[in-house]
Parts: sequence; C-alpha cells; structure tokens
Amino acid sequence: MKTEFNSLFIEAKLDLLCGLRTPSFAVPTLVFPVLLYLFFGVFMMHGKQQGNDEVSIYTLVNYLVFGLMAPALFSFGANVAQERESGWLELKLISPLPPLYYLFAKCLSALIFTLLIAVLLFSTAWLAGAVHISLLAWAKLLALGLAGTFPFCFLGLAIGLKFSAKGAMAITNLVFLPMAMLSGLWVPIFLMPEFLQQFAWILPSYHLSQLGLSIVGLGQGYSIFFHLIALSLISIIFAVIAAALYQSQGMPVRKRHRP
Amino acid sequence: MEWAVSLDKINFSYGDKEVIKDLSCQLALSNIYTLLGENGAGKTTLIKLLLGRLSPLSGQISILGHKPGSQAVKGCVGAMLQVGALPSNIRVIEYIHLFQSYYDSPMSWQGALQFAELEKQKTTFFGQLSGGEKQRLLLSLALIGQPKLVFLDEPTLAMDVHMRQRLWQKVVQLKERGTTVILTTHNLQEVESVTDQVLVLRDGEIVAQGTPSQLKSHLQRSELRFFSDKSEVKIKSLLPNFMVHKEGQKIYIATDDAPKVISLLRQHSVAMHDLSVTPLSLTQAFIDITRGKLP
Repeated sequence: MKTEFNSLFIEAKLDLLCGLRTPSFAVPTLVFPVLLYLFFGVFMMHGKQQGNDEVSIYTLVNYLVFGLMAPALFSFGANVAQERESGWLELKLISPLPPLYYLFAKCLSALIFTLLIAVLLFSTAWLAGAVHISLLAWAKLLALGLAGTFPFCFLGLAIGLKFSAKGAMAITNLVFLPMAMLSGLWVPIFLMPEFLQQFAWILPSYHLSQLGLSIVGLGQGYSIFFHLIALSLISIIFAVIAAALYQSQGMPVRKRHRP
Repeated sequence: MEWAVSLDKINFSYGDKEVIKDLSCQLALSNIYTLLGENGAGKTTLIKLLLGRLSPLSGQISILGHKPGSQAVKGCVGAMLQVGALPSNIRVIEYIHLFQSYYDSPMSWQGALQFAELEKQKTTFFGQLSGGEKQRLLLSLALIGQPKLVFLDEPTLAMDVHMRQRLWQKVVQLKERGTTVILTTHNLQEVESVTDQVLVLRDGEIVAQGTPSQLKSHLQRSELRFFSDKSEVKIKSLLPNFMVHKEGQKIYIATDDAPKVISLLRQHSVAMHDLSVTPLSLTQAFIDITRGKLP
C-alpha cells in the first residue's frame, strides 16, 4: 500500500511538473485568469463608485471558474489522448500501478493547478481589487473551486479517451471557450439573447459559478441545492461516459464465442 | 513443470477478422524466444493477449501460473513496447524513480542508470535524448522491476551497431539470471546467435517452432552467391523454379541442390565469379516459411 501511494504521489508530481515545464500551457493557465480579472474586475471599475465591490467579487468568482476549467480539461483532454496514442498510457496499464491511479494522479495535478490559480486570483483580488470578504467565504470559494474541478476532469477524460491527440485538442478548445462564454463567465448571462441563455442549464461551469456567487451573496435567485443537484448530475453523466470509455481501453473487442 | 507462458487453443478476432487461430504452445522459463512474422501475422495481438491488454475469445492463457494482466503477473513481468514518445519534459532520473515506485523490489536507480548506460544523462529531459538513448531508457524501465518474464518489441530500433551488440549481451545475461525473454525483431541475423527458440507466426498460427539451426536444417537449403555478367531476369529464366534475387551486382539463389544449380548455370555459360555456397540464413528460412514453403 505504501508503494502504491508513493506511485500516486510521484505520478501526480510528474504530471504537475510536465504542465509547469510547458510554458505554452502553464503561462496562459496561471496568468490569463489573473490578467482577465485585473482588466475586467479592477481596471474597468477604476473611478466608479457604485457597485464597485460587487462587480469585483462577481468577476473574481467567474474567473476562478474559468481558471480551473483549463487545466482540468486540457490535462485530461489533450494529454490523455496524446499519452494514449503514443503508447505511454499502455506502458502504465501493463505496469503494476493500479489503473485508476493514473487518473487519480491527473486529478491531483489538476487540483493543484486549481489551488495555484485560486491563490493567485485571491491575492490579486485582495490586494488590487480591494475584495474583502470573510475568511469563511474565501475558504468556501476555495473548497468549491477544488470540488468543482472534478466535472471538468471527467469531461476532459471522456474527450481524451474518445478522440485522437489532434482531435482532442481541437474538441477541448471547442468545448472550453463556448462553455465559458455561455455560462456567463465573461459576459453576464442576462445580457445574452434569450435562446443562448438556455444553454447554461446544461453547463457545469454555469452551475459552479452560480454556487460561487451564492457564497458571496450574488446568486441569481435559484437555490443552492438546485445548482448542487444539477452540477452533481452533470458530473455523474460525464463520469459514467469517461468510465465506460476508460474500460473500453482495456477491452477493444467484446468477448464472444466462436460459432 | 512451471511454464513462463502457456497457451491452450487461443482464438482472437477483431470483428470478423480472425487474428489468432487455435494457437497453443508452452514457453519454458529462462529461455529467449523470438516471435517472427510478417506485418499482420498476429505478433502484436499475441503480445497484447499475453500482457492481458486483450482477452481471448476462447482458450486459456497462463503467465507464470497466473492469469495475464492480474496484479500477481504485473509485478513480475516487464515490457518494452514500441512507444511513440514519452512526455518530453520529464528527466531520465524522474522516469526511473517513477517506475521504481511501481515494484516491490526494484533495481536501484544507480543500477538502472548503469544498465541503460545513461549515467551522464541522468538529469536530461527525455525529449533531448537521442533515439538510441530513448530505447535504452525504455529497456531499463522494462527491467527495473527485475521481472521473471520480459517482452521486448523491436528493442534495437534506432540503436547503433555497438549498442546493439551490448544490448544482446545484456539479453543473454538476463536469461542467465533466470529471466524468460520474448522478443520481436526484424533483424534476424542479430537474434540468431542469442535466441533459444524461434516461433514463426503466419495468419495467427504458429507455422514453425524450433531453434534457429533446426529451422534452417528442416528446410535443408543453402544459398548460392556470386557475381555475374548476366542479368537477374536472364538467370531467373534459366532457373524458373528457384528463388533468385540480385542485390547490387551480386546474385543470390536459394536452393536445396546447390551442385545441380551450379551445373545448370555452367551448361548455359553463365560466368560465376566469387561463387560461394552458404547455409541458409535465418532471414531466408523465415521468408521461405512465411511464404508457405514449409519443411
């Protein structure tokens, strides 16, 4: 058991290092949410008195959700597809490493990215955005961010297992950007045309941002339980699809008897 | 007797295409086996079945007395597969530590580095290694758990001549330490001196099995080599029932009756310079067997 946990720890560490040592991945992942928050949540509000705090907090929550989506989706989506195609995943699956540890390690790595993004965003919000919420609210936002990473891990995994490396990268981008937009992470959802607003119901990022906004008292009126149930259901669907695809990696042809 | 591998009437298909057909064999411990076969013969599928990555449609497979892919087997089996690329920004030593963590009694990291002859590249990123160095690292990762059974798929790919020789020496050392080695290669000359048994696969069936010399002697063929002023086409027309080919200026003829062929060519005034008659190479035996010229 000790060896297995050691494997899990090293797997997660290498996955994290792999991400951090790839500037084209690490820099946008860690810096973009902070830059966007600074632009929309701090600089754009400069000089405006009314509702300054609310906009800054609203923006903070949305960019936290936006920030945590990228490492989870891309670490699983594009990377799993690449590792599957190159044979690296195959080497792991024939090793004594329990098959799920590969996924646990990637989840751990995505969680650490979420933690880093949250720390960067929270520090920026506290120092530059003058966001002053209770310690409990900060803690709840962090916990929500960490828990909210999982549905995107499952979705990314499903993409990574279903598509080729090149295809997975394109599909992940195709999912990531519209999902952020249609969830109201960039533009408040009520400013969008009504037919576009309907998509938000099926998007985990929307329910996650609404849960975050509820923590800081800026929810849109639906109950926390509604969003919790919706997010849980979506996560379960993604997890079931990902599990089925993962299972299929070990058994491409169903067992059948010869005639 | 405990077998390293035991296969009993294995069948496997991809959809309607039968890839492995009623395949049975037993592979003994502490031996080196070479799997030969043309592309599509079923080698990769067979290795995947042995590694537990595929399940047979019918039949029984036993690896060291256990079910393939079981945790008991995974701990004592190593595999060097043809991997396109490992993540490029992980260091050699980090890969070694990772694979060490998978096993209960792994090789020391110093031993693994020494085995791969990568001591100087300890902190080098995988992406900065040469093709041969990458292969050596993969080999070292396959052996780090000190396995009882190891699969080597094209292990010498991208290695220079000296490294190849050293690799085969290491494979023989593995056998001497009690490890069973199952390898695939396209370079038959290299394995001829190290392999104990050759298994030739054709269309999912074992069509020949034996030591390299047994396979060659069963065919009882030899090869004539000479330089000639006559074209390949001309010689082929004189010997329509023989395998004739030309490489550079040299003519090669596979035959089971060398004196008769020489006499025939002399009758037709074919000049043969630097004529030599050599026993059939394993490569030629393999070609003959896989093309249906069974003993």
